[in-house]
Amino acid sequence: MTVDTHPPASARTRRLTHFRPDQLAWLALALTLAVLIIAPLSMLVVKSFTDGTTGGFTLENYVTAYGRARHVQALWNTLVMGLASTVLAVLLAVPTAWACTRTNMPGRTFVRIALFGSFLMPPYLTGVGWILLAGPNAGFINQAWTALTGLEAPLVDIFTFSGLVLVMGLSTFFTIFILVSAAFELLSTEMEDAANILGAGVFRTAFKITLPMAMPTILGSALLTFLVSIALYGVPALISIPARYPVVVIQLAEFFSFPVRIEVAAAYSIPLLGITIGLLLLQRRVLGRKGYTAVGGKGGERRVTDLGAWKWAVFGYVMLVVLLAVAMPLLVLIMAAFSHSWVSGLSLENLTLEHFRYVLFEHSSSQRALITSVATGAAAATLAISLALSISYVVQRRLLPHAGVLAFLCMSPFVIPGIVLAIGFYAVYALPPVGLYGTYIILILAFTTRFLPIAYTTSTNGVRAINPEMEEAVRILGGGQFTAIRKVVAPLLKRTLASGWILIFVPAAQELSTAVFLVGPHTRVVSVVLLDMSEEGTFERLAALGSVLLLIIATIVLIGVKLLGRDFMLRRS
Amino acid sequence: MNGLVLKDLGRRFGAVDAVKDVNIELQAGEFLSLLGPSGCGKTTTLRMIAGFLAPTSGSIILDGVEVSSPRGSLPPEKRGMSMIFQSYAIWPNMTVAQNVAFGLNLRKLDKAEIRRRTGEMLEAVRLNALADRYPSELSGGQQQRVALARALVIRPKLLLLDEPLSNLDASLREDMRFEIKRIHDEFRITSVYVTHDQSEAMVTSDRIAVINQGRVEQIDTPYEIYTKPRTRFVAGFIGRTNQITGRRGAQGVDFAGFTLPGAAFTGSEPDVFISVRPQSLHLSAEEPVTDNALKLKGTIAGRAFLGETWDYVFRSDAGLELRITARPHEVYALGAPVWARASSDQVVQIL
Amino acid sequence: MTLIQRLMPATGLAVLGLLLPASILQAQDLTATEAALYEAAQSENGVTWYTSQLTTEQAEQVCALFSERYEGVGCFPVRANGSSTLQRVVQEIQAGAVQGDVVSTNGVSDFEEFKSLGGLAQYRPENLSGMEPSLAALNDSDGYYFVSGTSPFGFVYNTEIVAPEDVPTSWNDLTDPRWRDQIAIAHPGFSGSAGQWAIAMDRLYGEAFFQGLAANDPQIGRSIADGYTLVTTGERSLTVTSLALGRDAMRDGKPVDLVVPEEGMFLPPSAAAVLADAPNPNSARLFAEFLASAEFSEWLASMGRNPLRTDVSTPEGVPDLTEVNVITVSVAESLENQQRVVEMFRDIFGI
Repeated sequence: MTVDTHPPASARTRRLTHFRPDQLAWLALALTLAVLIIAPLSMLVVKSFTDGTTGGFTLENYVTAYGRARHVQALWNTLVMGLASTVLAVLLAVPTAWACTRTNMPGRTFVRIALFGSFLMPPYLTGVGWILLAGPNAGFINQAWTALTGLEAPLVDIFTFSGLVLVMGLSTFFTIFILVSAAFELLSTEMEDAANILGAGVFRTAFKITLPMAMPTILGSALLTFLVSIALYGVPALISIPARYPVVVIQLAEFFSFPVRIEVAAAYSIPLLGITIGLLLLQRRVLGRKGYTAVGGKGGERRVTDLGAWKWAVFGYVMLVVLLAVAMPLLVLIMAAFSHSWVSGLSLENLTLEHFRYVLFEHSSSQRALITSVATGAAAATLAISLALSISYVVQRRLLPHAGVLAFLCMSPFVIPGIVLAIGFYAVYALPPVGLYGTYIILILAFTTRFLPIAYTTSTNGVRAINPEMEEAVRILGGGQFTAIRKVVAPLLKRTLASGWILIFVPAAQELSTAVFLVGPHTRVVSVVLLDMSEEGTFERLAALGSVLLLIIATIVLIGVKLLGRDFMLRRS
Repeated sequence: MNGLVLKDLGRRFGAVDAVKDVNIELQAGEFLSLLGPSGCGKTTTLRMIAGFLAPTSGSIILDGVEVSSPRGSLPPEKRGMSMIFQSYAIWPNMTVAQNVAFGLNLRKLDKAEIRRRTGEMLEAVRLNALADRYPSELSGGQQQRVALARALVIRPKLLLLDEPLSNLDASLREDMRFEIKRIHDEFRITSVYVTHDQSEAMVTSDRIAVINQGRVEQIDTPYEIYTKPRTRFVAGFIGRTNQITGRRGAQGVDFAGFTLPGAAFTGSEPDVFISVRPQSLHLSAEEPVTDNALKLKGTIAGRAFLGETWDYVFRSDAGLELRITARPHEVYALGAPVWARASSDQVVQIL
Repeated sequence: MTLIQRLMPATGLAVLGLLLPASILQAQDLTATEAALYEAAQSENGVTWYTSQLTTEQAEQVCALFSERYEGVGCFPVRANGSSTLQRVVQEIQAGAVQGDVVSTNGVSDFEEFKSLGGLAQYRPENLSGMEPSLAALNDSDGYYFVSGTSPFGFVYNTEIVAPEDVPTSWNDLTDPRWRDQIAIAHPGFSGSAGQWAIAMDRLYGEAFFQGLAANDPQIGRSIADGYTLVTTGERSLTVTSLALGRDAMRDGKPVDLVVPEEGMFLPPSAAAVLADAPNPNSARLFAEFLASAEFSEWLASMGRNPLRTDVSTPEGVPDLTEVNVITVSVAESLENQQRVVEMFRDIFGI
């Protein structure tokens, strides 16, 4: 009786005679999404065809945006960089995920916790860390190289294409790691045993059985990473200008400088939007409707593979990943934060608390920015998770006709690069008649929109886990829909709520791409202040402020993890 | 509760009729089963009764008031019914007692009354010792009884049960059938029970409605359904049977190897269908002397000993195969020549 | 300051206690205009100052001085590079949502843009009467903006890497292949003063200069302060930057020295203006008066920079602007060439 258990349009007939307040509430959700997503996006499209001075229709913006070889080059560069950093991210993430979930490599728990640090660390701080490590002359690695070999030529140079790709890959691989780990964990050992019995060794089994089984997840998460990396602003702002490797986000920023050409920026970002949508459609076609969570077979025993002596080789590789992604950049940042001058390295006379004093008590923007970042991050997380929960509930329970449209809208910010979203938001809400420029509201709304897909995915998983019969039991006993939500759904979703909140809060409190065009003088968030500091080269202060932000976020996450149990995102229960 | 009437009830999903032209009248205190295979529309019917789903045609009348029609439906919370779900739907965030008291709390009864009735009901389902446990600490059967208690404590006009035993293991399922029967006998609450398991329906029900492809094939007492199936579907779905096709001829209706008098059959189509239960057929080594409606000569084509009975496959000389159940001492060898017979009152015409 | 007070009441009060006597003293030498503005500014929310003219730390110092002099009037510096500041102010003017009160950048042509958008208030600070005439000539004749600083550009190099005999002498030395991988510059599309400098270089040496510079693969930052840090840390050995920044570094004991190229030091005047829709108009005008005051010029001198006023003497070791070769770019030249030069730069350097 599976066909008729959840009829697709149960609400429709009810609505005809009983138009109740709860349905008004569902309609309000649709309106909210229109405000958050449809309006900015359609404004972006409209602006791209609008003459900035006359307000009439024009194609001139596209000519300006794509009329120069350099601008087209930036688009091409972006794709190349995105592809290269995605490949790197996969190479970093997949073996690590395999080692942590399917093998007896030592220190698996340590690795998971250490890599969690890479989730807490925003890309631009990883970038700054690597500038300190691999600046061509003064970078620690090159200093050590020169000291060791006497050679003047730098060993590594972060201000190059490969440097850019390295930082990008290190900043984004965690998503792949987490998703692929989850997929590996769902695989039954019996699949591997079957191959072993037929005579396949450990690595052969990994390549022939384990890897292909997780392939949909790997491809899906890689695509996600690609989309994230082509839209990331912080890392290119730090590295791609000195590396002279122009990319789309930098070009977009140029359209926002003298003279400010929002219309051209809009026109320039449309293809980016097209590429993202196209790739997602392609993925859907290739993988079928299963998406990137497709790993069949829950059942079966799960047991780790004994790697024998190889486990130390694997351990070595995984440690390298931990070092590159977390330990080294974090260490140099902390060191810089406590140093008079970061180049001088570790010594007692170089030690100082001066920078912390400066950012905490003297520099008026940083104090305010710390509060703004945490507050807007928390507000956006709360808003996004409430909205997403409501919508995934409506969608899962089919309370509204065409609920699928709401679901689609919720996921659509996925395909909108942060900086493009910011331009759309700016065009609709910053300018009169709305005039939200420089308010916290516009930041919170933009962050909410940006992280709605994460919220929606988490919420949907949570709602899906609640059997609709739980609520029907309330209804039939005499309670309304809202009673069911209040007494049953909400209490059962507490965990989902909390873990979703953390998953959004962390990136929202560090968000840069969306913030960069939307902050006002009094609503600057830490990421923007850090970016401004980076252009003055005051890395010590930047490191101090970055460390304070990391500390605050880590504390909040730790409290959450304490409440939720340690494995809320490291392992699926 | 005076009664529930389903009148020409129908429900379409897209181009598919999940339920069509269902007419059922339920008396107060009656226990009715909706029996049918997966996807036959029985759950859809139940959900329309509950108010979770609106009909696309026809109506549902409860106590003389129309509660569902294509023009709209009274929401479930206003119908005063209870339901037991396939998944039990016990709320994991509440204790056993809180689960049971929930409906009473919604009715804003006073505290003492709620406590008293909850206690009584837990007693009735023998769960009073577990009142403060959480559902995750209960076994499947205990959860089932919580669901039962929660549904009954509000003294519903109508109790709906949606395959409530399908998640239990076999022996527990058998116990719970009688438990449900016992509780129904104790409270006399009008009940509609959805199941695909004929023995569940037989044990618990006053009447059974057999549903196939969205239509009611037959509504009758379990005995009538079994002994007098009206259609080929009912005959085949309820118990095992031998279905034989015959053709009207000059002397009566001709079957493979035997003829029955035409007067015994209704209708005028050339083809006539009959059902003969395996235990209505008897085997003998000698030609039977009594005047039987059905008498055939043949051999034993297959056999299996089931302990309490023999299960024989009889093949007549004309090639007709019949399943025949015999008592343990009636032993016939494979290939042995035998006679099969059945009296005329055991031969049922089906449509 | 309000934030400090909110965060740390004790510290805030202590700071206030230290400032109080000074402000009482200085209150006496306020001009009538200043006194009136001060009075009116009391009820406003302090001044928000968009600036790319100084580093964050210097801007904080200037603000502290201002708030010290005009107790109770807050000052919030928002430091960013020239193009970000330009972008922000234009955005605000176009959005009709002006949040800043005063803006100062190193690109005088920026102010023509603001002016053409109707974003500037016509306010000629009274204190401009004391301004050095050669600088006063650069003030807007319509009174929309005025000079708020000068930061002569030259070379700053790292003395540990560059031998005395290798020190460059001409701007054109930047195209000499021996400086390959040694140079740091700011991107004219991001840094206002670098933009002005690029216009001057284009006038002197044309496109070939940029071709040669590009061949030397300089590291390109977003602000001139970036290149300066690169040289003090030894990441690069030679940069084009504000000589005053170089003197700051020398004073701090960093291994750097400065050179003025033989063609003359490049002089990008910084300008300041009050925004037309400033939310705190009186505080804004008071701050404008402050920028033109002797106290601000004294601070400039104390920082090793050229003062703006005749009544403040140029600090020792700093060349008097009236006595050395100076390359300047007029507003008209800047407006005419800026976009072309920046585009050329972008095309040549590929970024």
